[in-house]
Amino acid sequence: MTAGSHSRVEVPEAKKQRVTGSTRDRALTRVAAVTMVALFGIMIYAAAEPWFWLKQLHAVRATGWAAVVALLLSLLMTPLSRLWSFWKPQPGPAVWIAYRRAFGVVSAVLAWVHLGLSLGTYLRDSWPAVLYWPYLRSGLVAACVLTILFMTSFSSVLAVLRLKGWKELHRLAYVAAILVLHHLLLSPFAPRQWVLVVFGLCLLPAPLRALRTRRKRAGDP
Amino acid sequence: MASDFRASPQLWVVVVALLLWAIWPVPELWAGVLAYGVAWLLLQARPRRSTWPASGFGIALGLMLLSIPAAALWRARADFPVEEGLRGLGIHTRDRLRGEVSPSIAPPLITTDRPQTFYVNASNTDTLRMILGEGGPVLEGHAVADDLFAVFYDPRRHGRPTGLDAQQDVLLQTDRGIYSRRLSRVDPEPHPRWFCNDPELGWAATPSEETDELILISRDGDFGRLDTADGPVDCAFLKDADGGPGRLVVSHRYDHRLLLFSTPDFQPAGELEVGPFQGRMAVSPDQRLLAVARVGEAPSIQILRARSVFEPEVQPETPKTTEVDPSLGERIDLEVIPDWIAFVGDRDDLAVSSLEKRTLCRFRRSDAGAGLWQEDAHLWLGRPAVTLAPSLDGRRLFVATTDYRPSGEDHRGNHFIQDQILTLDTESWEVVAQALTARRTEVQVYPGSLDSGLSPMAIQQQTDGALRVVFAGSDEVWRVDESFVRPPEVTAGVDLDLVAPHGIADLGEGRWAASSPAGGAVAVYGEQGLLFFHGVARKDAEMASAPRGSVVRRGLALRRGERAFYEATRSGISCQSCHLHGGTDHSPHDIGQTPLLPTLTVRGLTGTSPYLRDGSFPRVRDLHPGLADSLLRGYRRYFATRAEDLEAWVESLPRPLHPAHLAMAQGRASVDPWADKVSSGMEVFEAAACHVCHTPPAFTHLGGHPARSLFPEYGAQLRPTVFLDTPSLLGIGAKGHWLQDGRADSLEEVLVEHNRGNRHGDTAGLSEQQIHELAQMLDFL
Repeated sequence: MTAGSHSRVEVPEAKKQRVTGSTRDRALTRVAAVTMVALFGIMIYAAAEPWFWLKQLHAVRATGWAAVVALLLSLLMTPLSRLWSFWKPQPGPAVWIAYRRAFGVVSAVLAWVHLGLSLGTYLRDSWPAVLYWPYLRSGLVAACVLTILFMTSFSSVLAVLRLKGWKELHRLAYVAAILVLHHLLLSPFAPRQWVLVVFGLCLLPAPLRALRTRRKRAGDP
Repeated sequence: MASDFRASPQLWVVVVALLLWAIWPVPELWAGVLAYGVAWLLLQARPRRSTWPASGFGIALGLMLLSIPAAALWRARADFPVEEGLRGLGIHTRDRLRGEVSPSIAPPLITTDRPQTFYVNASNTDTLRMILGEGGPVLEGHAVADDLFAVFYDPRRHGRPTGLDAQQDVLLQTDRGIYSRRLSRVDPEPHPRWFCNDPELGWAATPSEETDELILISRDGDFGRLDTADGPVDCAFLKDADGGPGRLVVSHRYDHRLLLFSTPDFQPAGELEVGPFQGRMAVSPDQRLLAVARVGEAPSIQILRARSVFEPEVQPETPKTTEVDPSLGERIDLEVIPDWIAFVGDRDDLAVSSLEKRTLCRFRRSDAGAGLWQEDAHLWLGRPAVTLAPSLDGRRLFVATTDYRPSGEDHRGNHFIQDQILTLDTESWEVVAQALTARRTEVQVYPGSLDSGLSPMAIQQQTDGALRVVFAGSDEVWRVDESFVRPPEVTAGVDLDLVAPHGIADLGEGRWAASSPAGGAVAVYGEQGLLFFHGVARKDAEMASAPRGSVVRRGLALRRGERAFYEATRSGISCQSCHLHGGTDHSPHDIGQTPLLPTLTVRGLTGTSPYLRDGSFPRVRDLHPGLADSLLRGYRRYFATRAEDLEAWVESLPRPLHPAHLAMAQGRASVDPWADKVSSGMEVFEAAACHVCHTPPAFTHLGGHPARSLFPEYGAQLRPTVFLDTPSLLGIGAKGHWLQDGRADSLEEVLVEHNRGNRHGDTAGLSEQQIHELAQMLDFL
């Protein structure tokens, strides 16, 4: 290997920094813990609501919004990591990737909780409406997409099923985000200001995805 | 030799997904996602680095393959937004944002011809002022709840907004600063509608409620305009029994006076105090009595003696009371709002039609001389009287309607409209003849198309005994014998002069006048055809040359839209067939849903996207291709912008003013008592969590909910997919029946009897007093 080629090799090495199982687990644990605490707080708030209908509504909305935020944070990890790498070399890409996965996994779980709560309360007697009304259909499809991404987020599953090209499959996360935006823009309760602000903030850093991770320099830890 | 093209795995997945989708091109997002997933699975079997031959044949083959999904995508371009609810999403989002951004204002429409009430939701402020344009009128806000203010506006009192743009800038001044908001502005053009006439005198007059004037026309083509008070509704010619000058009497919606003019010089001759919200009028054949309908909070008919009209006492500038002086005549108190009234029979009986009840009642003065009028005959029509007119001898009454249901059952036909004129015997109060007017003529281009006799809007018997009937749906005037046996003489070409005609008046000597509110014109016809034509509104060309975005330029779209609203489709139905003059015919219809549903008013719709009961149409214009152009078989005339014009006109219709708001808007009553009642009701409103869906200031959050979720018992009768769009509560007190199918007879019923599951607001824990306060507040909005 020549000296010139050696410098080119350094970059892939930095990019291909192994995402160890412990990093992944740590990220997932942290994200799940924060989510659980947030949900618990929201459930306490909802439980204090005297009217059962509103109580149910709070729970449905809270889990929905939590799923949305987790999904968007998951999508934000890559552009933020690019930006971060120009500022500080640590944490490296592996940590960002671990958190991206953790947010994605939590988002899928929350989406199913949201779906389950909706079908059990607000839509209890109107299940066929989920396939009939576009915004409900989008929500269901987004939940299905997230489930597939959830299932293929574990290397053991990929190995058992002998699946390859998970990257192409996981690009459906963007499609899920579009479906969620569609779900929110047509839903009766989602404040449109919030929807536009939250999605706008997540779209702003999207071009950063095109940036390359800063090359490792001499002296960097 | 060219090397092969090495496509990325992502590109392969996308291309194969598109090809798969093209096989079953369902224009919905899930189909695309499914195709992508299947493509990804299929490509699991391919080698990791696939190549495609970069030869000419390879490129051609690739393009050929890609052309299949490209063609499918092109075909689905129109269906995709519909299926996924994206059509009109921008308008819906705009309306939602308007309600969410504080301070928000509702309704987002200002009309410069009538008093209006606005509600403003402004957080963290104790005071609010609304300024109609830079340097324009300043309106005070009255707090009715935390963060909610009511603003009363009367153009006559406060002045018109400044500026000439169709989008009116208004400034909302709060404790936290000044915020600019935009309202859709409407400056209506003159709208001459139904005439009163005196064939002997040779004059006819018609009020223009929008421009506060009376338009006069004579059989010789003389033309004049008289200023009136606010909102003239109807007029009547009265002859003097002593042979002196007669009187022309004008009733008003927003003024407490009847204005009197002497005839034939049309000079002011005094005024009579009868109170506001006057309606239509009728003169007894012997000219002794004048009946004035009252359409306000306490519906009634005021019977005035002609003497009081000829010798009016001078009224004070500001009335002390809205009660009529008992010495002027008698009053008939009614349970429902009277619509058309006419004196009939030999005994000066009074025929009164009701929109809400769809009935025709006869009131007869008691022989006991006690001065009491009692309802002694009642006829259920099934659909309301669109118009009515007595015969010259008073023995018969001609009534135009869209259906007649003597059985007492509602018609179950889908979108059923059968324009007809009923003839009533005024003594037996029975229908003695029924003439269907909708006909087919040689202009028919599709089998079964109806193109004549559509939407009869006014009837008048001429001195020669023949009837003249004006049809707004087919732009015609018929001359027909009252038996309707012989074919009518149709005045052709009315559409060239008067679009969607409304009024007809015998001017004597074989001449007659017709009016067009949409066109803003009146005309005199004779045996030779059109004799005189007077446009009272701006000409189309003048409006078209106004600056783009100006309120005048927009008036042209409104004119075209109004015409489209009245114009009948080939099926014989127009928008106004059910939405009578933009309101409702109060009749249940089969509109593709079960059970039958009463027609909704289209007034006050602006800024409340989505529309229809299930919120399935985000834009009014989409009803044109979806309903008028397909189900109702389209129109005879082609207008490229018909759908947009129709939408513009419908969105220009203000909600009717609540009678209780008029005195406050005019500054004749203190706002405080009203505000106190609304405030106490608003506390209950929020305690019952009504505001979650009926969010102020529009009192709707513009979202839909599953019928079964809100009303389990009622929803069980419906498909599980039925959603109910949250209606605005503004003006809800004016409705006669509430909830989707009108099953609630009072607002209290909505809150109690029809909310047993406690899902339509948390009303279970409310006391009777709180229910009363809440219902009262809703009634006052």
